[in-house]
Amino acid sequence: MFFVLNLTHQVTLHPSYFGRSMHELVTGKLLKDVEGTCTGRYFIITIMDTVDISEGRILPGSGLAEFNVSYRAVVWRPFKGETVDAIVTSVNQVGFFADAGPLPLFVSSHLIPPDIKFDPNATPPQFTNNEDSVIEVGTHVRVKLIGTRAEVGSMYAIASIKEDYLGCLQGS
Amino acid sequence: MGKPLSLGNHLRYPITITKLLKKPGDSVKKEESILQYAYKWKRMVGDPSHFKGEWEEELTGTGNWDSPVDGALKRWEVKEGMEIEGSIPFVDIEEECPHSIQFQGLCGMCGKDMTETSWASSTNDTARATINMIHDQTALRVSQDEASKAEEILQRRLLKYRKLSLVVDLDQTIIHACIEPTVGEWQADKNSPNYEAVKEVRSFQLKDDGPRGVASGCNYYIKMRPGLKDFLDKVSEIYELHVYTMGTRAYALNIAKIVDPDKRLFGDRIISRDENGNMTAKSLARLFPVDTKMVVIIDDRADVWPKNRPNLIKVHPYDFFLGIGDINSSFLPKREELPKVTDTPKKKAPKAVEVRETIEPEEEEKTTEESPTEARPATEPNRKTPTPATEGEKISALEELVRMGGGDDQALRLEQAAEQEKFLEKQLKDRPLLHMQEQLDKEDEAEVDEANEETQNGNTEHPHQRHNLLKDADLELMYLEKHLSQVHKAFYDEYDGALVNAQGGRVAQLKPGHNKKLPIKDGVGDLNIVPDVAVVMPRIKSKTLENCVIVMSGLVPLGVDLMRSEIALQAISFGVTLHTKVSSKVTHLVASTSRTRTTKVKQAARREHIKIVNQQWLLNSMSKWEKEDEEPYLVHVSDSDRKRGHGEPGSSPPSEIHVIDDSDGDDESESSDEENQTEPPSIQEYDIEKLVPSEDYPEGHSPADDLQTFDWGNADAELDDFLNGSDDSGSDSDGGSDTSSGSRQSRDAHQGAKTGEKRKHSETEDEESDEESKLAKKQRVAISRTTGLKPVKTPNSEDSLPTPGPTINGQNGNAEDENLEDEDLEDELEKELMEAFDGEESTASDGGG
Repeated sequence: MFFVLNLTHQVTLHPSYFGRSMHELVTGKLLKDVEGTCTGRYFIITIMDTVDISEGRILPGSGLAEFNVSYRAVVWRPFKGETVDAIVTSVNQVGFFADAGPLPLFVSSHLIPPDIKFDPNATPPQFTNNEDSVIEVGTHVRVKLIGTRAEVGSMYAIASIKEDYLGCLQGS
Repeated sequence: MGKPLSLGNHLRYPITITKLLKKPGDSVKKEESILQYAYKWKRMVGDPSHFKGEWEEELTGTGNWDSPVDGALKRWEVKEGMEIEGSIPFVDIEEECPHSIQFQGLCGMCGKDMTETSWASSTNDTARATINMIHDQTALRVSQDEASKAEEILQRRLLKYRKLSLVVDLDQTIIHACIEPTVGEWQADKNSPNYEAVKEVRSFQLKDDGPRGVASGCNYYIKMRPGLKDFLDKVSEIYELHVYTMGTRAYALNIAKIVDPDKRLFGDRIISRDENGNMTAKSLARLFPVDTKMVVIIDDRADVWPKNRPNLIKVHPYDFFLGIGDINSSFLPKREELPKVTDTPKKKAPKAVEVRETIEPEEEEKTTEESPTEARPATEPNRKTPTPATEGEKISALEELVRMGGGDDQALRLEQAAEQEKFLEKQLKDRPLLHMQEQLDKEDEAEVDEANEETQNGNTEHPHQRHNLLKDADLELMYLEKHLSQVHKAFYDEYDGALVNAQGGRVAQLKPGHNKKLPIKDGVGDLNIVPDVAVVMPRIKSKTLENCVIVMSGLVPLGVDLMRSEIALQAISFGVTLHTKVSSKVTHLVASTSRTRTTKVKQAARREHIKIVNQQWLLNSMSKWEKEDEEPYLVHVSDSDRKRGHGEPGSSPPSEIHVIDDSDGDDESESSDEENQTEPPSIQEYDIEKLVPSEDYPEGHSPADDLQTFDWGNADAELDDFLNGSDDSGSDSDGGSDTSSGSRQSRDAHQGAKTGEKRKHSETEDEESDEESKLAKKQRVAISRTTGLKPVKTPNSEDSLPTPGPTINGQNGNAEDENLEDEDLEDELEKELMEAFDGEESTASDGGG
């Protein structure tokens, strides 16, 4: 689910950048540092604006300036039970892998409807029910997350297409 | 499928079950109590300082037993009121989810986090799915059950389409890759002598391969083995192909794109070192964790498949870009080298002798051109390691193994990448191909200047004066295709036979243990009757050289156990009986072309029936899976060698030291293959006090060889001889310096031994005296610590019983003569003799040559 959050971040700036456009530099560095990262609980999708940039404080010893920046960002936190769209990246006999934006997820063959079977002889290998559903690398699928796990800087999820309205997205 | 749970060892037994909290059929949550129990325990109560003191009191405690799993309770194995003495399975709980597929610590079936542990959990859930069997993923793991299920499906499918699995290596098996920029230059230059050869070479750049220093952004040049397209097309009809390479994933995908542009052959079945999880070894278990019955491997290196040798067809390495080797194996242990074929069997031009001195690839080129008789170019240096690679390859295999144990994938990969980077940089900087061509050109010019009669040297073949370095004549894939279809046919013949039997005999299907869930469908029977490639293929192979009894000479380098050497393992898999000594049973002597005058060659030359061939015969036979005609491979044996054998057998009787020492039944004799090449493994055993210095001896003749089999009893006998004044060799320069060894006995023994040595070499030149004295010194040193060793040796020995008569020398000499004529004597005796000749002739040839 997407949220708008007020967040803060500490940005340090090298003395050579001290000058008139310092605030733009701080904002730029914030974008570079933060956007697209995963905190372990959510992904920071985009930074909307900076609310406040504190006065710079010179760090003794190094001369770098430290700014406390508070900003608003759109974050995505995948929840158990959430339905997301994803693109298939790899297919094998145990199941298939897909990426829902920054989140890699796995759909095992147990969580695929029994009529959709793995066909290793097809090129490329695919899950198919020999009708309208063909899941191969690049296919757009709609899946439901049934479990997530976070590690430092990354998240993983297990998903299912074994429910109504899940699976291949038509017309994609 | 219920999971029987045990009580565990942490309880205070005996315990009494007081209450069962759940009935069969109830659902159980993890960490929920299902059982109450009571136990008795004792403790000291009271105050020790008080006058009543301390006393022991028995107390009764109660405890709850909590379920480590979610699921439904199926059955109790215990009743209320029971007393239990130890950990026994006591309840059956059917789990909701077996967690048999896991992805990054998540169960792929229920989505639960497997890394979570709590006070109630008995084992780590991640341990339930440990098998990694997906080609392009390491994060996905499955359980044993799941793996066997997947494999069963695979086998049924293969049987249905009458296919087998074939695991294909890339580098030097079906392609040869290098990053030498020279190749690109040659490709652009139509006048280059190598233009024809490199015309077909494909190239690509690796972009997403991470920073690589100098080697980043360089071109990879890929040469496909001749006939690869046809080969793969044909083979893919009867095999399902997998790629298994030690290259990176990006590299493997690029190669696959070149070899198989429409992904028809390999599909996604590509595994690279990024997913292999092991630095030095490949394993079929990575792809086929349960059953490798239907898998064949083709690879140019047998040593990377330590566990799957029976499934392996070893392919002759494809070495198109000479001197480059395998760009993706710089981190592997060094390949075992065979001496190169530097000479053609028949022609033995004096020029070729020079060739041997320099081990330069282009020299080999030349010799090939001299050999129109050879079906396959001897050009391919058999086991050449790329010269630039030596740096990276110095790390011993053992160290690698130790490091592999660490199992940290990421670190391991980085290390591999670093090794490879070093290697690639070197290639870019040194440009070995360019140098070789330059040298070749230079030699051509020299030859033109000389204008000698060596027109056969290839000038006729090429109108232009420059020789081309790269040749593209390789027929290996042709043979390989034949072998693969042969194996396939044999496999399915056997399978069909078994199928008929299985269907005919209904009894088999009614047997208990027969899996009823596997009815015959699609004409595919029970998987139990599927034959094993690892049985079928070796059977075919072993017929190839079934009746050959082979002795090798000069093929296994110093310090390597013959029986464990690559060539020997290969030969044995083709049915060869490998002997270490020349005897009447031996049918072939395989000699290195560069060393045609070894003792064994001479010994073999003495026996008419032994065919002395060069190693190419063996290699070609193994490559073609049929016994080659020996004629073109016969090694020229100089007449003098033959004559020496017949003319003066045992002409130097005093070698009785060796005659006798061999009768010690010394078992390591099997390894003393090449008389002065193989160091006996047991040398350490005798070198208890580390007295034998481990210096290198110029001729490769280690005095320790003689020492470890030296017979001290006999030395005593000689001493007696000596003391009796029968043999006065007094002028013993070394004797005077013998101050360190105080004991009179050893001093004498030394002199006795010295006498023996002296006589043994009586016919050799004076130049040898240096080595002689060194030898004597060693013996003296060794003698100073004999006392402990003597009893070890004597029990096995017949001849070296204490106090042999002083006349033993003469007798031995005579005996030798007789024995030579009489072939029917026991093997043991024969071995003794051979050993004697070994010693005698090696010294003779060393001195003379």
